[in-house]
Amino acid sequence: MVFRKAKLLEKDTARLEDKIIELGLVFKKALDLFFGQGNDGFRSCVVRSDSLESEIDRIRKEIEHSLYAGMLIPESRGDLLGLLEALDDVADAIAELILKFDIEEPGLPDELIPRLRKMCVFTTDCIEEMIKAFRSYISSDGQTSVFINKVKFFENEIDSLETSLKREIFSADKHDLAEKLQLQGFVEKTADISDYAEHVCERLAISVIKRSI
Amino acid sequence: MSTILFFLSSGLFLGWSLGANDAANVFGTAVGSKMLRFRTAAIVCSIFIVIGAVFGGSGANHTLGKLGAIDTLPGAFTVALSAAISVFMMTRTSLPVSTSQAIVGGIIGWNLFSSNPTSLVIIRKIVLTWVICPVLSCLFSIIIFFIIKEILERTPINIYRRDSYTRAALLLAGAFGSFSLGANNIANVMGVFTTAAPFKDILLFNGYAFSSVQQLFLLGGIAISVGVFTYSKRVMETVGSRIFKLSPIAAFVVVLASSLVLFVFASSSLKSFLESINLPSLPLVPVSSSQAVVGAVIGIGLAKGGKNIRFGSLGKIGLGWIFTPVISAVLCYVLLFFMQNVFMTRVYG
Repeated sequence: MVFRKAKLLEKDTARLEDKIIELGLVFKKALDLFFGQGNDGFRSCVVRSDSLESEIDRIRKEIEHSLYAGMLIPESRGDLLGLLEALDDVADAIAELILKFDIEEPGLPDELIPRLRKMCVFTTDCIEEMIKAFRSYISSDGQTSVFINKVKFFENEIDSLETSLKREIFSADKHDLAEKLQLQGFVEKTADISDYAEHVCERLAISVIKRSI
Repeated sequence: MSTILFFLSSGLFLGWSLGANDAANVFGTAVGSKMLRFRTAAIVCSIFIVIGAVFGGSGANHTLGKLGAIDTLPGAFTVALSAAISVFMMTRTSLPVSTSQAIVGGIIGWNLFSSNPTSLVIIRKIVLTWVICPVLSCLFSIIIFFIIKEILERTPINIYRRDSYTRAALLLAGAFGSFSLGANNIANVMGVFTTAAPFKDILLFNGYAFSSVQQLFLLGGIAISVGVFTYSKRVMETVGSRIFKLSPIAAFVVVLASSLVLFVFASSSLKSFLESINLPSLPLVPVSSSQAVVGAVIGIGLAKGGKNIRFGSLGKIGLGWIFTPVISAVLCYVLLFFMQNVFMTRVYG
């Protein structure tokens, strides 16, 4: 019975990881389409991201319920539940940003698009490394710190891009203050995703230390 | 028959006290860390205690018999009663105490009252095992801890599967520990009655005889099981957590190490095997499972650097070990006086 529960939890956790990675890829595709002004494809990405975010929520709640109902991994349960909620925050941030693009339809200056694309690429890479770090923690293969360092690298790169984009937005004269604030909002929301990913990795680092015999 | 049962009742009560107190030494860390439900632990513990008592209890019983061969049922009743009351009193303080030390104190009290000499050789042997027991348990614990740590570092296991394996390991170690507890400690419960055993051998199938001593041990095993179910849950939550914070895997190490020590001091076959290959063997003596667990827990603490051991709790437990045999001996002497002079019952031959 306990072995069966463990197998089910393994499957659910793997599904959650896959959905988050998929959401990251949908995010990249959505913004590529938005930057290229391909609105038909972008709309389906919005719908897909919303559906993925709901699925991630559902799977997370199933895992939480299984952990509590089966009294499984009592010594690490609190850490794992915290990690699952932090992963959910990442998924929520991605879905919110895609929806924000859909609702507000910001006019993006051409000179900002290359760096915005780069931010999106780094964000997707950051999410993938975050999931690898989480998988490594679950499988206890001792490689978690390697992936955590990669997440930190991408997060730093995104922070640098965020700063340079904000400087450019506010130094340009062709936008009024409202447009500048709107653009700043999008840049910050994009950078927030990697911040949430870094938060997940901080929790992972502590959980790995706590999980000694 | 009712008279026999009356005189056996103190042993059964001692068995109940042992179940209430010592079952926690086997399953306390598993139940306390929420890896096993109390009900599962209680069922497995009870089954294996009875098996250990009936089929493995003769070795340690022999040594106690040499300390003091109590030759009347009323005498045996009184010794067991004084030990049971001592253990019960100490159990109410929620500290794990030693039934072995209580019964030894009781036997010495009987020896003093009946003017029977107490063999200093046997006392020395018994006291030596009390010292060796936690030390050996500590050593086993450190060795097993490092082996397990090495295995886990070399073979990464998914955290869910690791949890499942740990639960299974705790259950198996607990079953082994229960068997060892029954085999080693049944002598404490029913050993004082074996000389005056009131039962006759029962012939079963294939010429196998269910001896009077085994019948006594079966009764004692059942009494221990009742103690496990009715009172051990409260004590289970104090073992481990008061002394040192244990992870489930560390809990497994503690149970395995302490169970091995109990087995080593109870197994006549192991003793015979070691002697047959000219290796030194350990005496078969009822030892304290509480001491074994504390030794194992300290071993874990030392293996981890020795920083977080709560020595205050160790001190309280140590006091319990000192007071228990003394209280038991004094109580036994007083009760024997009453049995002989107030109830006019012969307490020695």
